[in-house]
Amino acid sequence: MSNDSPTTDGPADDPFEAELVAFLDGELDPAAARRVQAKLDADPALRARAAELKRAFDMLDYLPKPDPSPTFATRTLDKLPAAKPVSGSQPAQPAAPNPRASGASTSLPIPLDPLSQSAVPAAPVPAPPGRVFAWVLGLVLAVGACAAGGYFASGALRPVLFPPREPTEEKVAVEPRVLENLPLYAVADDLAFVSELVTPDLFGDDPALSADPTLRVPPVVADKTSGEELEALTKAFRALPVARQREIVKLDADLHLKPAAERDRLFRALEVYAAWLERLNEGDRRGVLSAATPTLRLGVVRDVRARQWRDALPAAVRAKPESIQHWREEEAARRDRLSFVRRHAEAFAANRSPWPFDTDAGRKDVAEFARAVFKVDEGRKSRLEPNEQTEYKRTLALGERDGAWAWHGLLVYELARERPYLPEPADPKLMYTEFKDLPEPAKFRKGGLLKLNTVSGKWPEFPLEALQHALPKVTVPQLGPAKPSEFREPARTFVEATLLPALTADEKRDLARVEGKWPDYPQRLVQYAHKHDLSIPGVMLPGSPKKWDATYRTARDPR
Amino acid sequence: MAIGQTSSQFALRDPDIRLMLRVRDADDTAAFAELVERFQHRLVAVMHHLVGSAEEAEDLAQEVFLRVFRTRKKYTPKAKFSTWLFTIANNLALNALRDRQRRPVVPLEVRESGPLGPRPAENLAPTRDEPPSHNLHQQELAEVIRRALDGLNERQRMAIVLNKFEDMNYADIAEVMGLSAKAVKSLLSRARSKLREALQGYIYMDGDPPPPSAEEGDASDGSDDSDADDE
Repeated sequence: MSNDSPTTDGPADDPFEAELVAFLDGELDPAAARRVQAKLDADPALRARAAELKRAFDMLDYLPKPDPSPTFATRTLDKLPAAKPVSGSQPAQPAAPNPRASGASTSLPIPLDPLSQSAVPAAPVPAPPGRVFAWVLGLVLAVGACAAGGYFASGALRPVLFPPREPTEEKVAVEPRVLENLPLYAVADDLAFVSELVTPDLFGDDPALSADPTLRVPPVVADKTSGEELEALTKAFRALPVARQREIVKLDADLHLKPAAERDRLFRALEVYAAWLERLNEGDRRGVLSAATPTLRLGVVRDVRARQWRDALPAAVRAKPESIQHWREEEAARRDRLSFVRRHAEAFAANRSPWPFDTDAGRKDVAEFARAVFKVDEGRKSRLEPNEQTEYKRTLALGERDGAWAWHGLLVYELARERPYLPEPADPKLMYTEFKDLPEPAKFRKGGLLKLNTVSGKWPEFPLEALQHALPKVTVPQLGPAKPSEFREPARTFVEATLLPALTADEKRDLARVEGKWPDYPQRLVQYAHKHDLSIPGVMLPGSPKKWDATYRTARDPR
Repeated sequence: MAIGQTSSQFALRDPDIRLMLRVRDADDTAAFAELVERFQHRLVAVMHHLVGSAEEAEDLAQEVFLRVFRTRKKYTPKAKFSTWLFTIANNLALNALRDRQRRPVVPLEVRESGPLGPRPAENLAPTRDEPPSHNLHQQELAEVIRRALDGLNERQRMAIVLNKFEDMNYADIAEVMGLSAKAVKSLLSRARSKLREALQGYIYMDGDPPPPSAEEGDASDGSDDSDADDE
């Protein structure tokens, strides 16, 4: 039945607009199209309007391309009312029990005989699981589907699952737990491999892994593993070469040595990986599974993931590499923020200030550091860019007003990381910040003046930049303090009394080699201070460097 | 149940219909699972563009599939399977959107301050005083476009989404929405005009120059365009 009187839409205000849109959509018959084309040819304003209509429509390509969650199909099939199953139907058994649920049982299809193409025992359909855990079921089922597709029997899989048999085969002791998780272990190499899966560029961002850690998942009561199923799993395990059996047992042991929360995360990564693998096209899946080593396999997985990410972009932006790079960077930044929030979820929920802002002394120390090192109160001479100064003031106000110090802490940490400071000279005259102040200015290229001007007034940025413009084959004068006695207090006393005595003999020798060389000596000193968890006052963030890292370091920080 | 001549012709051409007939005639859950597998991406995407929420989109898409299964016995292949599927989707989505209008949902407020307040950088987004072409990131652009789409009424939005993301022609959209092709033409015309208005300031932000004369011209006489109106 058709309804031609849409009350809210009515006829088009401008009847020609409808013709124009239909023309753009290729919906006009040839005669009408010619009429519209003639009008367009004669009227530039109309052409502009047509162009705008088209571009506005094209802009919809910028909308993200939404995909169903991995568990969508499984959840949907779980909700089917009972219907008579058809014999001979292969795919999409709606559910398999969660092997990791209490009572851990499984009816996963596992090849009874790894060389048989049809080794998939029929899985009994369990009671419908809760929605939260439905994804787990889908994932595990996916591993089974992988087996059903004959991959266990394929040459591509053999390097992973069936390396050449050893001449003497002994029986490897195996716990039921290993057998129950066998479908997951089958697609993993070792603990290092599984640990890599949780990195953000692989599966770390998957909702299954990044879910709210405080989420309470209702328990799922799974069916008991039947004797028949356990027998099938045992048979499948025994069919593997002994070396592979040992690897699987070791992987299980390694995983169970991990703290419960971390183990759970690793298991979830395995499940997500298994499901992803199952959904790949045959060529890509073979590529992943036939990689010769775990490292190569991870490389292939990364490549395929990157390609999938690119393919998911709207066609309009896919052709613009610079946009893609920009998006990637933005995504990485958002990931950092998310990981930071996740790490402090409990403190945020309780509105607790993070270290070192949890005490008056800590807040005061950081504020003094920012004044001394970032020169936040020195206007143009500040080492911060104007937008950074704005952010600094805003986050500081946020902390002072609401006690929300987390963002301020993160900002200060990131600024200190991006703009490392060095001990100032005891003699302020040796703190060079202008070209005219440089010792022996003739030894520096005047061509670099423009670049130098951008950092004039800023220390140590100016002398560091000046070094880049020293003339070749000249002895460059020392542009900063390069031994403890030249440092300004309190850095000098701290280095002499605390830092140097804490260094090893090798480290001291290393330092001695660069003494008198700026900026090598102070830079090396800061590195060693960080290594020994010491903070040089007036140079490094106040308090334990390791504690700063533990509290604020994000995934992108390479240190 | 025997498949009639018309059904056979459709079924021969459309593998999805063959699957649906297995669902109808043999309660074949595996065939249904394959249909879900084949159409889940398209259906969830369309629903997402319509309702703007991933969770709601999945719920609606799930309900569409379940309705397909529940009404399987009444299925008669008349056109492409996808047309039938999106007809169900259209009914459910429009109901949901109207229901939402009657009972507006109050979104969870993002706090201005506090540990979970916006990051400083978020406050550096361009203001209305600046030309929209400045500093507008892709994500913000997507939000602008999303708002433009939300500014359409639900029928216009449905027509646009089917046209754009399902690449449906006017006849198929008419079939799905239970309208005449002329009504669809009018609906899409209004929708496209609204989109153009909403996105006016962003259309030439990617560096491409606008055409020589971008101002509105009196280009329509409308004298022979009466068929563009709704009946």
